[in-house]
Amino acid sequence: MLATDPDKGPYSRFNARRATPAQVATGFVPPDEYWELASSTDPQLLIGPRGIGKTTLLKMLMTEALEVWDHEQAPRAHREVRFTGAFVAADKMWAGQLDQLEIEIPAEHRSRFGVAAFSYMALGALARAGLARIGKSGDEREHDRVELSVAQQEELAAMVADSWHAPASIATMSGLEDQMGINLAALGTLMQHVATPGLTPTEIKTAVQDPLLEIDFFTAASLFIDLFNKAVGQRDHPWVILIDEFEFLPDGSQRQLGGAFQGRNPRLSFKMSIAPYTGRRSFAGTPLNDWLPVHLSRPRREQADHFSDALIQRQIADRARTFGDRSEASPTPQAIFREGGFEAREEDSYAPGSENDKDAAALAAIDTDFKRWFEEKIGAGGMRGPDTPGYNELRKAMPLIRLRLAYLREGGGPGSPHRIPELYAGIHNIRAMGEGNPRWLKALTHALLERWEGGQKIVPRDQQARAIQSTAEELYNTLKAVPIEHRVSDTDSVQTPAPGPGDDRISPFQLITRLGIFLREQTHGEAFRTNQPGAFKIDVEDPWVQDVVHSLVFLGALVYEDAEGSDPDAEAVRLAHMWAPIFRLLPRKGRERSLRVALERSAPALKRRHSASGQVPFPEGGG
Amino acid sequence: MASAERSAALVSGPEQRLALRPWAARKLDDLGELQYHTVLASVGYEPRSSAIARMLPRPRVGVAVGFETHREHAYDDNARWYDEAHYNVSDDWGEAFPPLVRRLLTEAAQEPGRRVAVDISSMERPRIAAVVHSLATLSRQADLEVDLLYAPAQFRPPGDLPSGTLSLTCVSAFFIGRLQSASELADPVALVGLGYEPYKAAGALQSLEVDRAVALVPEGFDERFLPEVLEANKGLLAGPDPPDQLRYPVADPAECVALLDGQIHALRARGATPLLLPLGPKIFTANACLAAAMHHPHVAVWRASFLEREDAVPHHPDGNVCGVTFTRRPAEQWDE
Repeated sequence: MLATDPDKGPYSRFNARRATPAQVATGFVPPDEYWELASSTDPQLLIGPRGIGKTTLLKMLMTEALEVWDHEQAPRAHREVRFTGAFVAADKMWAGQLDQLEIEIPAEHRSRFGVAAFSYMALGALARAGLARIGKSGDEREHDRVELSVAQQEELAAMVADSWHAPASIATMSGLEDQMGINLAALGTLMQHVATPGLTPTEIKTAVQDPLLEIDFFTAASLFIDLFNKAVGQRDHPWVILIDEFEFLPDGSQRQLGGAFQGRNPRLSFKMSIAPYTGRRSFAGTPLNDWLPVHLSRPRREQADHFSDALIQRQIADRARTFGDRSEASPTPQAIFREGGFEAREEDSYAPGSENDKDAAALAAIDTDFKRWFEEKIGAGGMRGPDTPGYNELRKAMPLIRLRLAYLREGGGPGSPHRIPELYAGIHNIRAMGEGNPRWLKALTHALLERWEGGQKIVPRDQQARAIQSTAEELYNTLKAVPIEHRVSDTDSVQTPAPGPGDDRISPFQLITRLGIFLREQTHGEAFRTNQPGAFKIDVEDPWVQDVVHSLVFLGALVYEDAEGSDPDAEAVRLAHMWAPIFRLLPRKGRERSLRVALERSAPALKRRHSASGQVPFPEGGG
Repeated sequence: MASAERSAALVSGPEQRLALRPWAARKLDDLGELQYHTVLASVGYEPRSSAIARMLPRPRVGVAVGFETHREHAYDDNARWYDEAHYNVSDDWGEAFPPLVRRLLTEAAQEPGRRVAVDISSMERPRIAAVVHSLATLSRQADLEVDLLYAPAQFRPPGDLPSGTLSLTCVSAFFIGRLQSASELADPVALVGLGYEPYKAAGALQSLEVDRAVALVPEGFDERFLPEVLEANKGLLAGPDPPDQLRYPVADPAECVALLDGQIHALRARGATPLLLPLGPKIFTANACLAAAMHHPHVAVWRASFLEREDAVPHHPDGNVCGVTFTRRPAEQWDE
């Protein structure tokens, strides 16, 4: 799905939610999951973490996007998408508006307001989707276009006006769409009125009798669809409401969509994107109308690297221009940043006297645990070549050997402050730490290129290390003040918890810090192990901790990993590689451990390092 | 960097019955020359929460609202002083506060010429929002002048920010902005007031996913604040997509409101959706709410606070007072 142009496609620098369908379609490359969505009118749940491209996939099911998509696979999409997609987005900001209104509205009326808000939003999207199909021009890229005369539009609008709470004078599809926006704004005003301090019960009772609240989305939508289909001679044509970020919808709408709406009208279906953690049990559907999950995985490493290089290349070109360099070809990221410090060296030799041999010997001289491991695996005779027993194990261990050596050479144990070693420099590490996240990549590259002098010059490794350190620390410290989305129960919509006693609950920053300290102890602790832990199976029962974990995934601070084992519902996360230099870790995957155990074991280590103020300390290198 | 012209510091709302004008900053010691019919204040744990009331002549109606929590430090001293000064020491906090404000202002507006002072120094942000909400929605017959007053705190170096869980909500239902489809929301741009709590602005902006931000940087009475604010936000201000910076004088809230009003007008004219995120000095929250009220219902005011109970810091007043005068005249007078 990744596009190579960082200004285009789902991983681009623009927010797909607010991009036009044409913008989204530019540079779109379909992943397999797209075809699962495109080829079915069944109710589906598109599940994937933030930034993975869920919004893009849903928008690419809209007529407006399909018609401008210029790609070899576009004809296939035209064949397979046999429904009209109406896109409805919810987001943090929208949910925040509703949340605040609902807090100040008497509890018994909240649900009706939330349901009405979603209804007008979705009906507006339906009108827009219908509008997008009207008018044939003969262009071969047209998708499911139909003819609907002005008179037919007038008739349709008049017939749905009552159930849509639109004036009978609304004569067009665009008029219907606009009216839904007006209704939504009017609903907001009504909610603010009901939330007015000091309103008497009688005044509230009068206010909540407003006809705006008497909206039945399912009936209104079904009527529109049936009339539209009939007018254009496609009685069985399906329509699909594409709901982005379902978790931010009001509770009442979630409940309706989760069950009551399913299967009632074969011409009306729903596809919804949700974050992986969002109360899945609520969306089981009904026995004959199950929601079919579509899991959107992270892009393969090569794809992410390709995208990262393209984004970094763009920033290099921008920076080069500030030096007056107008040449077409700016240096590549590889040329400026060179190899990563943990990568296999070019000579890849372990012969006596080689760099690898020297590093291993140097570590053995100061690290008794490594020495023991070395003698056990390789033998006292040392490395003589590929035929030596333990050759492959040593090769595999070299990144860890270099890491331990770098820190021990600094003269400190795990607790000493220092600058991060140059090992973290190099394009491989930059890509890994960027995680394919445009915001992080931009932050990293911005800091790195401030140390670039232009032309064909490289950025010295010590300068790279400093830039990486400052960027990682800044992003890490930002976690000290981030919100989490917390569900009080499985049936609740996601919301920011209200302020209250919560002093003993783990914060997002604390959780990252504790996992980082756990891994650091494992990496630099007494026993030298080559199979370092690096991922955590989410096996904690505490809903608060679960929500902190998932919110950190949402922020990119934790990354989902495929869990080991046979449990399909098990989830695992790893620390984002951005935190590797903070906690002295390898920016690599590792074996899975229990999250519960890691949090328990890291608590004493963290406690030992508590500052006098009782605040959570920065780990060394963290600030 | 930019600074608003002083001459622009008179702004008015869409109904043309709501106007602000500068209130000349002065020393606490000089408040004795002012006379108010009604004074609304807070019984807080900070010594400064009674500093303004102590220096004002006794009003006809005085109300000081307490807090349910943090009854420590100077709380009892303040409560005692207000009581002895014949203020009504009220426990109308939380949901009871907005009706109290509305009632006070409505009663004060019964007779022309009455002046009201509201000391926001120790008010939490929802209280400030409730005050502005009430001011902005007074009846058409209201005839009132209200001074929103603020006693800045003495400088103290910011402590390290303990890690916390941020609560990000609209400051009140009145300030949620225009309810519209999330898919139609055009280019949200945050006007964020910076404080000196490290990473708070960056964390909040990251979560709101705004397209762009404009940072409002306070220039306080005490010059030591500014470098601390810049230091606390250096990551945000130096980032790859740094926000535009505008400085505003804490001493002149009317000028700040004018600055915000201009930004909001410009953003709306470009089809963007401005939202306000007031961090930093409390007076900026009042400024933000006033600016948003003028554009009601198009501009939301958000609030970022920690779920964990924040330490009660007993701020002392630094001896200055600043404010802004809110004027509401009956409709017919504006029509003339």
